[in-house]
Amino acid sequence: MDSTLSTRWILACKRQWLAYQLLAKLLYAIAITLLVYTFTSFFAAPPWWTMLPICFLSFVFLVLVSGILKIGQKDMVTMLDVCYPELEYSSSLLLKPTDTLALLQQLQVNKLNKLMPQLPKDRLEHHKTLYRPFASLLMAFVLYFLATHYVVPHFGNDRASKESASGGALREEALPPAAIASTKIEIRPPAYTGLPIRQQAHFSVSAPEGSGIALHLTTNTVVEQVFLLLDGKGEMKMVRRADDSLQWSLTFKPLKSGFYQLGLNDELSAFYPLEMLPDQPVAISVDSPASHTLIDVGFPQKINLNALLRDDYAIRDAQVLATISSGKGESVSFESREIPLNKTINGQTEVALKQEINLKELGMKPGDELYFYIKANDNAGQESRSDVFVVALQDTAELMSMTGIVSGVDLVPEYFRSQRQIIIDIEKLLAEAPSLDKNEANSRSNNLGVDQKLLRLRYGQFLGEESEGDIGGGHEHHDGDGHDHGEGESEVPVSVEVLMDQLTHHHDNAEDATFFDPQQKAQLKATLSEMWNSEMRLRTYKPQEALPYAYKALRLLKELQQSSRAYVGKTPSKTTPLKAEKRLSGDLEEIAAASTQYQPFKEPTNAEAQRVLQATLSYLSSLKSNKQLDEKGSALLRQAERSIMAAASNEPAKYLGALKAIRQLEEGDGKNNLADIQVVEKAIQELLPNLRRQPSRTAGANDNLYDHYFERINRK
Amino acid sequence: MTLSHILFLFVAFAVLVYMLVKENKANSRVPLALRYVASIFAVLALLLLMFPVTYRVSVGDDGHEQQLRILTKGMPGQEIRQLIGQPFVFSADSALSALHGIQFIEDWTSFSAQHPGATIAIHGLGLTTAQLQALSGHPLNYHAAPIPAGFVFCDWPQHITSSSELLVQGTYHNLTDEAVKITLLSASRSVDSVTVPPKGLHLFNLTYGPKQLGNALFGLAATSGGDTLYQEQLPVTIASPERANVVLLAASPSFEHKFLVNWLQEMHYGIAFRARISKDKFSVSYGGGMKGNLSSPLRAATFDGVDMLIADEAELIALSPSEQRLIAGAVQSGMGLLLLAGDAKGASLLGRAFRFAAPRNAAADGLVEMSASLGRHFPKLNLPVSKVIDAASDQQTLLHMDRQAVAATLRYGRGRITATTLMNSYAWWLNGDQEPYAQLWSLLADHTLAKMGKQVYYGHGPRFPTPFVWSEIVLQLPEEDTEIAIEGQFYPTLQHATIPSLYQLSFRPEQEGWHTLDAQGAGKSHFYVYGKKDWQSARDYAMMQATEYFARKHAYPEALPKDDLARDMTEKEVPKWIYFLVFLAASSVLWYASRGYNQNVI
Repeated sequence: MDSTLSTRWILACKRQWLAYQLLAKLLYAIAITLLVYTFTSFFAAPPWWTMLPICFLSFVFLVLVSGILKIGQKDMVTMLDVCYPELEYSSSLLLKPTDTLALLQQLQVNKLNKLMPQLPKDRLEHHKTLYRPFASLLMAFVLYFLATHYVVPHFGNDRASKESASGGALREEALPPAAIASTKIEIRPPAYTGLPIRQQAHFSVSAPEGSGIALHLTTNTVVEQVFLLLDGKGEMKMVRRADDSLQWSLTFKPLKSGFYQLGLNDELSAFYPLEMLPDQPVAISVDSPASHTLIDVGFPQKINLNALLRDDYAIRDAQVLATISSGKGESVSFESREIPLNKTINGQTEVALKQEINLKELGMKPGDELYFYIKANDNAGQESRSDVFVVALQDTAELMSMTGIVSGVDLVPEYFRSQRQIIIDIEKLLAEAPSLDKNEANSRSNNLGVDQKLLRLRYGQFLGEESEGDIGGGHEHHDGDGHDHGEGESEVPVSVEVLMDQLTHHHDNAEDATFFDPQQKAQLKATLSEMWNSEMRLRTYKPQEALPYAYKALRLLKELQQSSRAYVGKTPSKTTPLKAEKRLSGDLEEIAAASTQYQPFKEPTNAEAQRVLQATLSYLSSLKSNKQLDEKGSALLRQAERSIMAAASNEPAKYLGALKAIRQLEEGDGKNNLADIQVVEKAIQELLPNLRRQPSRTAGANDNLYDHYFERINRK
Repeated sequence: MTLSHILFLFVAFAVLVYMLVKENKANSRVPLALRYVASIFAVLALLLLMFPVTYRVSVGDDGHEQQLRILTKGMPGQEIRQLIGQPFVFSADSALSALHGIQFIEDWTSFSAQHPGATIAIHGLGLTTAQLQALSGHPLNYHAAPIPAGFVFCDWPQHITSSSELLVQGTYHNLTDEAVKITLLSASRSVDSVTVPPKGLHLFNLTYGPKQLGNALFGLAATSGGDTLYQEQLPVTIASPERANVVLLAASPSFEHKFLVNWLQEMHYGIAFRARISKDKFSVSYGGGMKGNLSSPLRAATFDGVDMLIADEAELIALSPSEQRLIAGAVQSGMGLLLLAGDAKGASLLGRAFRFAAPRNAAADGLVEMSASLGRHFPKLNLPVSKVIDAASDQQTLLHMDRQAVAATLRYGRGRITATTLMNSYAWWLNGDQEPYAQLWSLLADHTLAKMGKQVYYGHGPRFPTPFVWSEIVLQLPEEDTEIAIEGQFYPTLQHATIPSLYQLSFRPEQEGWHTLDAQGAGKSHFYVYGKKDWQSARDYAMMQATEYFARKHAYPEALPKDDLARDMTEKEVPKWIYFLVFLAASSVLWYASRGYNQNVI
């Protein structure tokens, strides 16, 4: 016998052992994964595939920790020696090179080579290594089963109950009548929606508005007639198929949401909801520009249009429609045009418009205004429009004009003219700049800056800023400002009062002590900051850049000035001529006492139905404890059912559950579970409006003791 | 148990484990078992120092010979066990007597006769009125049980109209360490709620404008952290509001009157409105089926069938003295008068009942905020308050403005007069605040209109009638021999002992739920019989208070302090020095065992 055979036999044994060990670890890993899954399902419902990496990781971990991969042939041989006494603890000799063996060892090796292949492999009993892993897996599985079936449903009670509450009555599918063997409902949405024809076997229908609904029923017995009752009033007969008396069909097109019932012979089924989902027009939301944009002189004459159009089925087309108004007064002219879109629209459900509109290209001049809106149509032909957005270009000529200033209420004419003068000077400087020496131009720019500064400081006085360094703060006292600082102050304060005088102010805040209201003040501040921007650029020899700020300052000033005006139109009046002989005579003889009769207020039409609902609500509260529906209760429930039915035809999702519950109450004679009563109560409570307080005589007994006492006194 | 206590327990446990492990490993001549015991005792002594043990001892009523003790429900078991061996202990509760073998008192009259003059100590929740009456000849002492947890008191109107508010007021005894949410339930839905803080007795108010009509059951639930602790039922009979006939007399047409008339018309009230437009010239309007003659001078027939007169004080002053007396007579015989004081100078005959004063300080912006009882606030109103009411003791103030009354009411014969200095409440209506407008005028009118007075059912004793317990129903009947049937069965009535216009009947209900009381010819009334377990805390607390009141009236001559249970049963603490000694001894053993010469070093 060849020694390689023996070695192979050992290797085979090892491979087999390793395979069993790996299998055992895999079983452990699956058990661990099951436990992890069970535990996590208490808090969340993880998708099953998240368990795969957990299983893999735990398998790798178990294999590495157990060190089975490190087991070498030597260890294997030791194990074989233990399991097979026949090997006489000498199988390790097989691993040694033959030439290193002593004679006795060689003899033993030969003996082993003969013996080994005949040894039964089952004595290694590998399968026993799988007992524990299997048991662990079984236990893990049992735990998983118990937890997911019995514990988790209760643990996540809130979640489940919330879901069921939100689902409401619609999700709870009412059972079909017993006589119906099978149902097929075909919903054909309108072609424009692009939705496929849908078939369903359950009765609650939810379809796009305008859908055709084909109802095919198979009854299990022959019935005389089958009809469909829409909203409890509209009856439609179903048609029996000519070749099969058990097959019935009906095609109809519901106009609005509601509910329906099936009638087999004279028996009505439960209520089934019929929800028609209306097609919404295109929703247009515009992010930019703002509803009113003013582009000042010197700023780029373009706007960015960012808008999002969204529809539930498809957008057919969209346009940006613009109107440009130019001119003033009687010479105003309008020009309408469509601004082409940079995106093609052909049936998307969502379109994001990102477009730059160049006002110059539209032919807009300073002073012109652009009005535009977005119009979109969906494929049902519904049109929707966005708000109108206004973009105005600042007109410099308008700003510079003196119209209205000479004659109007002139708050600050002198200064205002100065700002205008500065702009004229800047423009003059810019015009002459190419022919001027650089130093000369810079010097003129700087001088203009000084003028702008002076103007700013003069305006600052209106805001109570008394000196250059004190914009908005700081304080200096001057002679004659009403503050007594004491003459000849020494370094050391003479008294505490003097010391306090130095540290505190005894008068109002200068900023508040002006004639302007807060809004005017805010605008003045904005003007000052524009003036400051202009000044900064003039002083840094950039008159071109200063010009827009100077214009802006001028515009703000003009607005400020105009905001203080008010206009009251003339109203003509014509009085009745007085009779001089009757005046101041005090004679009222001819004046009769006026007597009028008020028109009676009409009682709301549903007042009686409301009173029934109110009484039903009271009755149900008692029914909860005595659980016995009497005749009065049945009558009330029947009347209340009518009101709920009317409500359910408008909002089936909200009231259909109550309608079913009221049926069950009637059928169960009051011996129903509390849930039914609560559902009906909730619906009635929602149907009833809040009653307004009204005075009423207290529904109580008289104060007998007091009355008795009063009577006794009167008697005496 | 606080967090520090829990931490201390943990640390003590950890120390004990450490000591036991250490002793297990250590070599010592002292036997391991002894070391274990010493370790356990040491830690236990430490624990007991932290949490001392107390025990209750009975001090006894040494001075009183032959004191009878009557044990009732609600008495702590520990106290009962301490009293079992003593002589003259009886029980008023059959369950207690069966459980502890205490003699049960069946016949209270003979019990009282058997022990003439004996002093009696009542323990627990107390006795019923009939039982207490039987003991009236004895000096009594009452050892009250702890106040039960839950709704110990609750009151609400049992008859209201559907346009008025249901007001529930009560007291909740919270024994837990957590806040409890009290919810008013209508149709199984929460309509108002309030949270009471942990520990102690807390008052609560809940309101709701009911949507029901007829006999309705509302719910009152106490919940804490998702658990429902108590749930009780509030039976209320809700009637449709009755329409009233109103006459308005105005010194001049005004917006206030215009809006008031419109509002009254909306409710289909009968209205007759007269506004003076010049001297002896009036503008008169009628509506809602009212017909009358408001021409000057007013006649007695003008006020026939009128429920309320709303009149300007200036107009009343302008009326002749005979007309004023006519109005006063109508009010005395039951009509309500709502007096709009405004800024009239002088006082009319009925206006003299109120004293008006200048307001202390007017609001700077002219806006005033008014509040009614229960802290109900109205939105701010531009109200030129020229005067406020200096309410006398017989006048009930209804509306306040900066703690000064702007509306008050008083009784005047059978009717009521309500005066208000409010002037332009219609500003609310213009602002769209119709609700406060309706609330305010309803409040004023409710206190001016006389009660319906048609109700047959007047009251019930006990407050919560239960099946198989006798209860007294008090009725007001138009005639003495009116037949009374409850659920179709006739009952005899007796005239009330103190108020001759009232009658009472004894009734023993056999089932819970609504009962209909039919007074032949005088209409029907409804009342509710509660379940055996309903309002248990409130019933117990009521019994405790009744017993306490009775016992105070029949106390010992040398009466013990009211809450004498503490003296009777005192709590004593095991002295701490014992634990300290045990700790010292155990530590000594452990110390001795750990010495080097005691260790078996191999």
